[in-house]
Amino acid sequence: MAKKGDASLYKAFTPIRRRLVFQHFIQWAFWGLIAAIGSGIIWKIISFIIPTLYISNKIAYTGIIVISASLVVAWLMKPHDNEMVKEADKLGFEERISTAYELRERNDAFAKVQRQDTIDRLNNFNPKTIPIKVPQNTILLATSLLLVLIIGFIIPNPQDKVINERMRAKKILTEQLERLNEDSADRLVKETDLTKEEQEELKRLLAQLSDQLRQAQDYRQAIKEISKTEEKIIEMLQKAREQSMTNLGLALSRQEAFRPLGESISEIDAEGIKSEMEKLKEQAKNQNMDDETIKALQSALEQAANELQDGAIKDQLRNIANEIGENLYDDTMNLVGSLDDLEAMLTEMSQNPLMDAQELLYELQDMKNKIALAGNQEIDKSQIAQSDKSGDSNSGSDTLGETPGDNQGSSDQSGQGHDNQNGQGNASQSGQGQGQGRQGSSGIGTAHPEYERILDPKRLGDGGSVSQVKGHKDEEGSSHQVEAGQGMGSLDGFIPYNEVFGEYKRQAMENIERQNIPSNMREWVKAYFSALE
Amino acid sequence: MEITQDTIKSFAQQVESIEKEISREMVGQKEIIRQTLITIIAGGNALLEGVPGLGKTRLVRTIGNVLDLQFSRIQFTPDLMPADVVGTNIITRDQDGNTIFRFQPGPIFSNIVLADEINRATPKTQSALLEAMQEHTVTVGGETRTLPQPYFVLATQNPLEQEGTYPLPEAQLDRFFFKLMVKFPTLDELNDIVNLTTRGTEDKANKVADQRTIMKLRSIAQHVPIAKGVQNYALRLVLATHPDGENPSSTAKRYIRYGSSPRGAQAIISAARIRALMEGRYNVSFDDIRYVAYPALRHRIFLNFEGIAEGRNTDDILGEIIEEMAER
Repeated sequence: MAKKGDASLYKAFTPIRRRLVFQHFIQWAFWGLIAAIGSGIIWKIISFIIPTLYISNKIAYTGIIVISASLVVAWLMKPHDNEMVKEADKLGFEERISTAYELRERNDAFAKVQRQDTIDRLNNFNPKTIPIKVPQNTILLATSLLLVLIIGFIIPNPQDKVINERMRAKKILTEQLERLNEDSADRLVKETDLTKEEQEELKRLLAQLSDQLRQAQDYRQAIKEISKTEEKIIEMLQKAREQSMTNLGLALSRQEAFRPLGESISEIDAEGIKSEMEKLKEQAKNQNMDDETIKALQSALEQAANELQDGAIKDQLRNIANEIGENLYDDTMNLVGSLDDLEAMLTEMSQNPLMDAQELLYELQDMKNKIALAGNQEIDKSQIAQSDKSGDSNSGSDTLGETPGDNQGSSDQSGQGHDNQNGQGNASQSGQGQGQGRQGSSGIGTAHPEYERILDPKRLGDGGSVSQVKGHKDEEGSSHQVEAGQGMGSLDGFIPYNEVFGEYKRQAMENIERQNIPSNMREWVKAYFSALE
Repeated sequence: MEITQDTIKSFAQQVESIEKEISREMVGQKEIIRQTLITIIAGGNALLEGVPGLGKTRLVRTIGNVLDLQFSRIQFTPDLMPADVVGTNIITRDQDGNTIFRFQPGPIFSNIVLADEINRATPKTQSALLEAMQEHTVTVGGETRTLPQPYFVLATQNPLEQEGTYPLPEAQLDRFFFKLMVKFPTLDELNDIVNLTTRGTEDKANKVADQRTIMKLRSIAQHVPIAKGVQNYALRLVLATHPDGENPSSTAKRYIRYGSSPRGAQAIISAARIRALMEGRYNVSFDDIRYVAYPALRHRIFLNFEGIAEGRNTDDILGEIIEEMAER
């Protein structure tokens, strides 16, 4: 009601107007509440079809937004004075207010009498008698919808499993992302035997991986991204190693006596290297290698070392060159020993290009394992059930512990063996214990002609319970057990263990032979496989 | 006449005193009394329909007494001629002995005219009333004469005896401001009537108003404000009675042949204004419109065959139309 018409009329009408506006807002708020519950039901229905994280939060936030929006709409649609006076007239004023509203600018006798009559009536009216009530149908509708929503929360949601899986994956992803923070990445990169440019590239790849992991929606994608990064790193390492070998080969080729060896090194021909080194060793044994030749070899190796980037290989090469130099006037056997070291080094360089960044690769592999474990708890449980059915009846041990892990990254020093129920511990003791324990509890033997199903080692990236052997070959090493789950895929990846045992063993023996496994751990690994046979 | 706040406020009081005085001679029929007064104040004419003996003549006479108005009664019969109603020029001699025509006014020259059993007269005689009712003038022999003010025709018709009657034509019906249905009194009212009329000690109504009072009341009532929404409601109500109109009601489409004329709308608004003041209110309400809609429209709508065949009456149909109509 416009103030200009008549202040006393406006004043008399104000309490009713406030009450009506309040009623209007209450009604809209209630409709907003219904809409909010409706949106909650829609969210709940969606959550039954599509896995939806934080459904309660989403329902709550949507509800708040809807109710707020309804109040905003209520404000925008606030009834005009025209509508309010008509509404007020229905309260028993018999069109007095709307008439007075229309006559508000008239001052003739009738207008005055009519206005005064209206004001008197308004002043005698108690606005609290205007009911602030919501229609019963609306209340019924809201109650029904609320009931539906509650039922929606009570009914078990099949998507909850997926959500839990995602939550675990998200948690582990967050944990793994922390491992890839800037400091850790810097440390890992610095530990590599790569040039500064290569290290920068490595840092870039890790930063990229970090971003991708942050955006990853599930563990599969995360594992995929880590695998892609691994591939890129391996490719980079191979190129770097090829470059080092070429440089070394060229340095040796400058000396006529070592040209064949240099060429074999340049071509990364492991057999050729071995053959040429055998010839050199033969010459050394037969004392056919004169001082000039030895000097030339020392010089060539030093020159080659100088051409290499700083790092373990360079140091190693320089040490060997020094040893050869020191052996110049010493006995022949020491020279042969130095040549043995050189051969071992060259063989390793040619066969294992990944040794330059083994710690980094191990970290990535470990991340994959942990993510796969988090993402496969449900599969894990079903596997346990299956193992219980197909497992032995004479064993009370957990069959999960008997499932061999895969042999991921077997060519580097972080070879992985089988699991056991023990945690970390002394390498040799736990090795023995595991072997016997496995044989005694897994049901392999006469009592059970069927072999236990284990993970196909070719399915890289899958989980499995994993014991990792860490350390350098010249160190004692240690074992570290990781519960890596049962693999990320279906149980199709599991095959009778005898079908893959040979492959596992072959790879393990090969790594022992290449001295990829720390010396103290070699016996442990051998004993383990012997026990399985 | 100047309208002051005091005169406005005294309206209800004056009408109430008139009603009270009439009620001294008229037992019951309060709605008929009120609606008749509305018609008089509005300056219209009323058609009363009811069986004989319900006090129609008594009502008119009482009103005449209370309002100090001249009253005449015309009993309509088939042989009644127009001149019997409006008057005629007769040959007579003046003071000088010259033969002249002198107009002899008929009973129509009165403030209140009771046209009893109007449907018994021929259409020719009925139509003699038309000019008087509408224009408040009478033309005889080429000379137009003004009727006294206030002027009010109250016609009656008996719904029972239809033999030898001449139903009023639509044009004439439309001239009636209200058509009032006089109902049979209730047991209590009948008891009071018997007591009042058989003891020989009837109360006599006193004069509480005069011609000026009526004219003043009429003048005040014409200024009663009406909100646009309320007026619009009344007009929509009239339009809804037209089956071929813009927004006909479903009832009108089914049962009505012809809807109300604009006179219906005029009657509703005028009557509603008076009714509002009678209720002590200074504005017209929706309730006033609904109250006056029945007497103002019931004789202005004409049923079609289906309506007649189903025995519907106009009041029921108006009720349904009002029910369909939303207040806006």
